[in-house]
Amino acid sequence: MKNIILFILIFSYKSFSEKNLLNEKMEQAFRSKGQARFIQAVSSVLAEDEKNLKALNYLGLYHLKKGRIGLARIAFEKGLSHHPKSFVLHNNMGLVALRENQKHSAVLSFEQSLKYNSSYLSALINLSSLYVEFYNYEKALPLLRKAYSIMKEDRKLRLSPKYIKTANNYAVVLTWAKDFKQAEFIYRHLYKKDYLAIEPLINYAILLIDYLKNLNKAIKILDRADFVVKKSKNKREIRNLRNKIRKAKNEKK
Amino acid sequence: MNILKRILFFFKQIFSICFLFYKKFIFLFLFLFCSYFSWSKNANPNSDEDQLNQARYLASRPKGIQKGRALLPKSRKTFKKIKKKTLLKYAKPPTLSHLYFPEGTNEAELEKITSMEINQLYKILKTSKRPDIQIRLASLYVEMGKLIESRIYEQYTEQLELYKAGKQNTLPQLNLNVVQNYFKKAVNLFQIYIQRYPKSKRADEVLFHLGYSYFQLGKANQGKINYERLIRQYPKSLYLEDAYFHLGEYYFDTRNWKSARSYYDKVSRFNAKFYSFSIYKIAWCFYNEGKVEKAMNFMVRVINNSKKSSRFSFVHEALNDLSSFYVYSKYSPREADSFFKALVPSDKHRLRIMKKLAYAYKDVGNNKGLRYIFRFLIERDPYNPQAYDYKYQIVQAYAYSENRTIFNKEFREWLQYYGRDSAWSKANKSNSALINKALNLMEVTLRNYTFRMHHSFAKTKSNYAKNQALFGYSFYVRYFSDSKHASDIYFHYGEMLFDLGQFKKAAEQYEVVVNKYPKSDKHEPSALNRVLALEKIIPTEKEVRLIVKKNPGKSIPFPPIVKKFENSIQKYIQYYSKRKKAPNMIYLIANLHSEYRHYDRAVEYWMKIIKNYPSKKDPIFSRSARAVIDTYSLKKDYKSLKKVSKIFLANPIIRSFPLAGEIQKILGKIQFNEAQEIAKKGNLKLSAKIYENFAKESQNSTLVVSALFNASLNYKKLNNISKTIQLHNKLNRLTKGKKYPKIRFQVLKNLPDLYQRTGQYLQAARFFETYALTYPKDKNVPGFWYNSAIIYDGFNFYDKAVSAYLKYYNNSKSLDRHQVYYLIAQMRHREGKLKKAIGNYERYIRSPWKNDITKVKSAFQTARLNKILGFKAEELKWYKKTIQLYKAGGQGSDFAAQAQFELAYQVYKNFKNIRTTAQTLNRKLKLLETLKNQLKDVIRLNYSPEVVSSLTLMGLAHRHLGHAILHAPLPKGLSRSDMDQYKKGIAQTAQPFQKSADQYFDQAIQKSKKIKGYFPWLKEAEKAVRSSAFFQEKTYFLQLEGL
Repeated sequence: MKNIILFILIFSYKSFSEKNLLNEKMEQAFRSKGQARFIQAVSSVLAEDEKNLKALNYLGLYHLKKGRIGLARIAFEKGLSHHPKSFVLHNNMGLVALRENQKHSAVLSFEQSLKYNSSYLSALINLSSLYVEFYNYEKALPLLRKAYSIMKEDRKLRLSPKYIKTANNYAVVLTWAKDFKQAEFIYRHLYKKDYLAIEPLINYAILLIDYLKNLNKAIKILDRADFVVKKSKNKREIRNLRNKIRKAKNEKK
Repeated sequence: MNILKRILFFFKQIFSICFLFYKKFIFLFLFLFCSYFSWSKNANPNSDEDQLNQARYLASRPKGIQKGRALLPKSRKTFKKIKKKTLLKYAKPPTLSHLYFPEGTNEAELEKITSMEINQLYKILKTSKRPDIQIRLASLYVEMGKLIESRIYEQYTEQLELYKAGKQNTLPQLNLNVVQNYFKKAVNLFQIYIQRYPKSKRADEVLFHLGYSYFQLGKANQGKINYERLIRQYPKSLYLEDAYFHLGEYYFDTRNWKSARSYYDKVSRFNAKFYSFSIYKIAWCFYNEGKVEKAMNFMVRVINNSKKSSRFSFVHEALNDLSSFYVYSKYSPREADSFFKALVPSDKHRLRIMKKLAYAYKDVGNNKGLRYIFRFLIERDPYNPQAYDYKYQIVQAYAYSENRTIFNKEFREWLQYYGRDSAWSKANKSNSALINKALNLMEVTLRNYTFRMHHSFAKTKSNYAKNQALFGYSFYVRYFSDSKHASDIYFHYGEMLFDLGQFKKAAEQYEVVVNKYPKSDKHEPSALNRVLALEKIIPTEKEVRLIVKKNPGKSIPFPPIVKKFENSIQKYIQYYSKRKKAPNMIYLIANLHSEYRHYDRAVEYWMKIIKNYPSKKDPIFSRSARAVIDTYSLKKDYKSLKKVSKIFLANPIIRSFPLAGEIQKILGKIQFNEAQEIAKKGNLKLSAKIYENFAKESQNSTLVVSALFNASLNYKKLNNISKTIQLHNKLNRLTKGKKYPKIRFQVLKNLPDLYQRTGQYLQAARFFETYALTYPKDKNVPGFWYNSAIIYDGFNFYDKAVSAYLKYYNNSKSLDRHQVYYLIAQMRHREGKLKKAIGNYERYIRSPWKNDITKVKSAFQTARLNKILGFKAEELKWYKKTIQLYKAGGQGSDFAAQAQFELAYQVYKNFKNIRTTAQTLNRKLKLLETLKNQLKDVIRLNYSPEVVSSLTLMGLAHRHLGHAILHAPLPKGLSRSDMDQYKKGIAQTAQPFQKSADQYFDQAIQKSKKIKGYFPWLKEAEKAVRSSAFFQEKTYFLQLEGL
């Protein structure tokens, strides 16, 4: 009896470790960007288990990266047919929809993703971004709050560019919600960390000028923005804001 | 090579016949053609196909064991054929010589003394010349001649006996020259004397001796003259009786019975020493003259005379001869006893005479007499030691008689009454020698007689011979089973029964030999023939098949007769395992076991043949091997089949057979079948592994491809797609060519799906393409071209995709094939080849395919592409066409709405472009009204995004008008108050438009929220609403996420 148990344990460990090895190979191949290597790795996983969620997802992502939207959709849809509750696949289907400029479909997919995992950061960010784009700040606020709190806790995530962008969006929505203090806190945090992103600096400056009336600080922020700015559109905006400060100062005088 | 030979043979026949029968060529050709094929079918029974067919059936019973004919032993003549003795030829009365010398005389001593006396007298005669000495010497010469003659005759007789017995090589010669010399000397001396002293007192004596000597010298006339001179000149001579007697003897010897009788008669009148003998001789003369009754009377006189005088008594001879004469007399055998009772009152002596009489009857071939007398003797003394012989004599006498009834009766009685346990045997049991002698005689007689009858039956098939032989055999085996010849009898009895078709009984006889006489020379043929006899009575193959058919799937126990048959074979093998027929027998019993479904036993026997009788030439060997293989195949016992096949292949003889190749194939097939069976039981994984293993081990087998294919199908069922693909790829390589069309078809059909399932879309597309190119007429081809195109499309391999789409279009007969133009158009659009895209969209719209959503979309896309290309007129035309198609088909309201919106947007753009002045205001208002109407049309289409767009656009239009009114150039020359009033009026005019604008924006946002829609124009609405109170830069990004 002992032997049988031992055998079962060994066998299950073996198959488990074999599967892990295949998954690792697949992930490495995906990151290495070598087509043949990746396809080989994925097909070997799918050959063992054609419903393998990871493999189908990687396959879809791979084709999506390569601009093969149709193939990506096939892979994700196949994945969803076997794993209808996969929040990752729903998220990625949302991305496919975005690529096809089907924003409405994208929103539905991201919402589906969050339905199955309400703390899924990617879907939180993606959906909130779309809400913000469409000025649906009411819906965006709770999502961004959640996303921000998750990211804030994670040191690694705090260093990623998506953190800056999410924080920026969160601050924008907070401004709309008239929570200037929290918005200012976020902008200031971003400013202190010396992130070289232009949007938060401009938005911080707007907050300082339009709502907090801290013009001096706004000038300081705009100075930093001048240092970081590259696009002419942003330069124009900075110039407009400086004019606004000047006008406000004149009015004060 | 075989085929070539057959073809050559065939054409050779054709040509030779053509020369001979020119006109009948066609018929002959047909005939030969048919016969050739029937011949060729039979000619090569070991062709692959035949062997495969044969493998389906178990071996049938062999017909190789033939029964040999056993020669019957040479039967000695059982019964001597009695030759009738003719009266004169065989009648041999005693000669004078028997009487001349008294018994007990020592001839050698006498000869010696006589010789000495002759020598002395001769010396004396030389000196004195006395006549008495002369007579004495002559008489001694006669005496001496007689003695030497007697001696020479004795010696001659002895040598003759030795010669006859084969103990002497040379035939003895009778040389009487010495005797003749004595008689010549005697004649000389007597002749001289009678010439000198013719009237001497001793002249009668000299004449008698002279006559005698002449007779001895063979000069019968001289002798007769001298005897007659004696009778004539000396009627009272003492030598007269002798002279008469000698003359009677002379005439008796010269068969002059009458003269002889007259001289004997003269002798009898003397009533002297020759009286009885002369009467005895007279009897013989009468007998020889055929006067049997007279002869018998004289013999009776001899007997009666013997009672008076005992001198020279011939009573024994007379009685013996009388019995001989009796058989020729008028007296019947029944009278014999009373006849002889008068002469010989003593029973003992009379029975002896009767016995003589019986033998006399035998000598003359009077079977009735013989039988009567012997039966009489037996009745008188049934336990007499000679009784068995008396009966034998009767049997012997009747052996050649035509009266078979009597013979049978007597023969059976003889065997019964004098056999081992008979009363006679018991009565004589103290005389074991006699009993043995009797039994020996009986055994030999019965044996020889039985064999003779068997032989006769074999030759003539007569019923009598058959019955007699059967009786003989049955009697023999009953009473002489312990005889040293018993094994022969049992064997031949078996043979006879076998020939008569009484196989069971025959087998019983053979069985006795097999069990009781292992050292007999008949042991082996008995063992063999027992098998053959039982083989005749065991159920036939057909009968067994019927029995077995009634009990499907069950093994049927052997009936007793078959058990016996098996036992007989086992016995044969026990003793003669190395004989040529041994494997045949084992093969036979093996097949029987197989017929009764005792497959294990059958295989055991077949394996025995393979192990113990390896032979390249004997077909039994290869058949056994095949039968084992077939049996295990039938049982589907692949494990054993595999084991056995390996053993066979290790056998160098089997390896040299074509069978080896078959076994190789079978071995492969076993693995193949094993895999099939395992698969049927549901263990697909194991089955697949066995198939793979088989393919690996039997690379030359024709089943390799099938095995690999089956393995791959099993893996497919197990969802082990990597293995399935691996094997399918291998099969793809192996099935190139035309050898495995079905498997190649399946492989090429499966491969694209397998690649698709594992995400290897490019490979999938390639195999879709390969399949479609390989089987262009297959019904799946259009679908496969379509799939291939879709994948190439997905990979953005535009040209390949287009090519595949077009091939699908060309191969498909369905109407929806026209949709490929839509797909190509979309692809070209993505590729950036907008004109090509437009061309394909247009082609699609023109196609006979129904007006569905894709057609509406195509029209809309065409409009869009024209817009990009700056073809304004075309753009508008296609927007209108979009709406038109929608109206025609009722599908694609979204695109119709978009098209309608685009058309409205053109109005908006015109409306916006008109500079707002007092003069243009009305025009603008009209355009606004137009726009409003057009957007109403959009909203009616109820496509939410475009509803939002329309509301937003209405809002923008109203805002624009309000803004335009407000910012319209002020009229010049107005006073300040007029100007203020004017501005107030303007503001009042603009305000409703502003308000309407806000309302439209609000409606757009609310509509979006209601339907949870996020559309581009919603952004505009939101922007318009919020721009007054709130402005900030914002951004969003997309998250690509793996797991």
